[in-house]
Amino acid sequence: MPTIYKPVREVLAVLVTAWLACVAGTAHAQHAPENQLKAALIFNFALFTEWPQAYLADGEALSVCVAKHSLVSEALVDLEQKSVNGHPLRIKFLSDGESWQNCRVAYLENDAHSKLPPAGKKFEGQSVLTISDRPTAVDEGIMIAIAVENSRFVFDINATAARQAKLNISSKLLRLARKVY
Amino acid sequence: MQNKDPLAGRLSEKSASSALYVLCIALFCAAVLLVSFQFLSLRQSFLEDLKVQIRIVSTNSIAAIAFRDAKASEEILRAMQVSSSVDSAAIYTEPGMPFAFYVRGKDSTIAAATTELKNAGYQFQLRHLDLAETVNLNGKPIGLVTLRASLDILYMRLATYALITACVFLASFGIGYLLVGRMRRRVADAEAHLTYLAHTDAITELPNRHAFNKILSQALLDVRQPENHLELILLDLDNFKSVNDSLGHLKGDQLLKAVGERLSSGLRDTDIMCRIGGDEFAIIVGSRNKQHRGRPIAQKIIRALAAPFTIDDHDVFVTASIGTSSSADDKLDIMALTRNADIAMYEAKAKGKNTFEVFKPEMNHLAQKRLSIENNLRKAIANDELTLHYQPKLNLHHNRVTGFEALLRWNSEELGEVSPVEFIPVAEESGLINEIGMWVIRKACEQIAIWERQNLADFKVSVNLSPRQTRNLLLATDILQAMHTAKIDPGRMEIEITETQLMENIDSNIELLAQLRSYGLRLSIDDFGTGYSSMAYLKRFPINELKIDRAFVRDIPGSGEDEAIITSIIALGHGLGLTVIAEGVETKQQLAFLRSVNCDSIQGYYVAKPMPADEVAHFLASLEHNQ
Repeated sequence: MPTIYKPVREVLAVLVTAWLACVAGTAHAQHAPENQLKAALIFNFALFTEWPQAYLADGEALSVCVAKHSLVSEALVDLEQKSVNGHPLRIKFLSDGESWQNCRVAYLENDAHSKLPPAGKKFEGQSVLTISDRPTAVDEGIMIAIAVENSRFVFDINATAARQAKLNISSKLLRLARKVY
Repeated sequence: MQNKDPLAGRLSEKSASSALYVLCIALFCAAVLLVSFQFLSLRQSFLEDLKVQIRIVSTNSIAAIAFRDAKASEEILRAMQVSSSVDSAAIYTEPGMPFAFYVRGKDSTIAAATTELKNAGYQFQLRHLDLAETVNLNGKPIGLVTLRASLDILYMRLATYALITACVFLASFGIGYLLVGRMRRRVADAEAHLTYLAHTDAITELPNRHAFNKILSQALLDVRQPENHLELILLDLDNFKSVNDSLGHLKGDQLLKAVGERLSSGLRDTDIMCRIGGDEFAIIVGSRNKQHRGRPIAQKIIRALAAPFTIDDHDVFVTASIGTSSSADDKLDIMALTRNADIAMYEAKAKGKNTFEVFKPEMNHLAQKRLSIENNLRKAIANDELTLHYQPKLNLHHNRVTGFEALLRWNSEELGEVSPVEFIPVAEESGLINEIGMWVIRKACEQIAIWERQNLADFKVSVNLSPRQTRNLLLATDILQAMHTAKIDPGRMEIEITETQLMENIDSNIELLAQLRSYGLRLSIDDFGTGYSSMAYLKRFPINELKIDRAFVRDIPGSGEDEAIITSIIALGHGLGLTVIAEGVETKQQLAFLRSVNCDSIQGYYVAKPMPADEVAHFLASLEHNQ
């Protein structure tokens, strides 16, 4: 039974971070651990989100849409075998101009996203969880914005946008967010 | 005088202390059970409480674990601060090092994420309770929350509870002790009372026969030394039955109590007086150094009883027949000691009561003789062994025979001639006197009838009534019936009753005498001067004659005292309108004196000895011839 003192705790915190990086990197460490982590985050966000029954019936596939050639595309492919709360994941790589209709999760990568302003408008009236890695994305109506702070990923949540889209983001997720709007 | 039974009180002591033991054990068991139950229920609620807490933590930390957010996880764990019993909490994402943890103090330790703990959910240790809860997300375990709670609070609560229970226990025991104490006192009191009742005569508050036997056998064990011995004094009140009959049982009881008090007040503390029967008392006397205290005590009792007892304004005289025996004679045997005292007492009774006898071995023969007298007397009437002899009474004024006293004679087939002095007391004691007495009356009546047919009709025939007979309420009618059967005139009959007997039972005797008098019988007081007649009573008795006891006649002339007594009795009798007769007259000098003091009649050998009935005619004829 280890007795843990404060200095040890700090060491531990560092270790945990290192370990987190390791876990995330086990799949494609040689390519881009950052994108692996982002894919894991997207998956987790989906886990803590509830869609209205009308948009996502029980057992119905959950479409995660991302622009073709996004940096996370490769990492997302690995998620295809998984399911979220009983919904098998479908990763859709969309070309420019392709419809984002039927997407339940939309990841708007920083570059791709800049080409589609205003992102919020695009999904109006739809129950789509919008996620972006642009730190200021929440100001533009994106629901979850991933950022890096002190070499750790953090995220902000635009709860208002989520509510408008009739999405229910778990309070457990909300409390982990750096900021909630 | 209270007899202490060595067994008394032991039962109550035993039952009371065992009741206390049982109470103590019961309370202790109850306390242990209560504390154990409380411990289990406290532990259970403690566990449930912590299960809720760990569930909250694990639920809250799902997202933090999913996102590997150690900071958020620790924040969640830090909420455990408010739960004062939680010592530490940790989140593991894999065994070994915790992913996040919270510790309350420096000494706090973290529960390791062992497989056993994970499987069991919780583990109680001596000082800790460890809990583990798997965190599931999306149907898969993503981590493990462990929690270690100190059991100090649980123990503290349990200690408080045990303390309260102990207090209640002590209070209950205290109350129980008081109640048992009270119960013990009550039981002891009741036992003491029962012992008292079992050993004490309720009337006199003296030890009873049961106690007497115990005390005597114990006392006999105690006097094993040859120079010490026990004496037993048995005492029977001579006339108690008649007192009881005339005054009633209540006053009889008062008399017994008074007798007990008077007699025991004259005894030493070591002497024990018991009431062993209706009117029988026993005194156990310890004598040392070969002294004999039985005789002086017996004398003392006779003297003590001489003074009357005042029962509700009545002066009641009682006398006692006393027998004493000594353990020195009897080889320390309770049966022999009692039997000897009894024999001596009967001897005293036979001697005429109001006296005492010290047991002598030859009394055994007398007792046996008395027994054989009684046995033979039972068949005397049937065997026609009884006869009546008649002794004439000479009227001095007319110088002629005016009456005969019928006297009983018994010629036993086995014992030969037996004196009335011997067999009358036996008949009296055994109750045979009723039968014999009636036989005498019937025989006398028949004889009167026979004489009448022979023209011998100018004298009366007197018959003696015994004390026991006079207690028979139907006596007067029985006598009337006998006279009626014989077809004789009641005026031919005279009844003699002794003064002592009369005084023993004044009221019922007055009634009897009045009844007989109303039938026309003549009444005479026998042995006058030996009893303690009160002049006031004498006046009330419906009698015709006083018969001066032979004891006064024996020494006259010459004894100035006796002469004075005789003179006084005659004066008294005449003063009350009674005739006076003197019995036991054997000499001419006696006759001369009696004639000089104007005595009405005489009876005695000087006139004639008692004679068989068939000699009466001849005697009367010769008397007439001499004149």
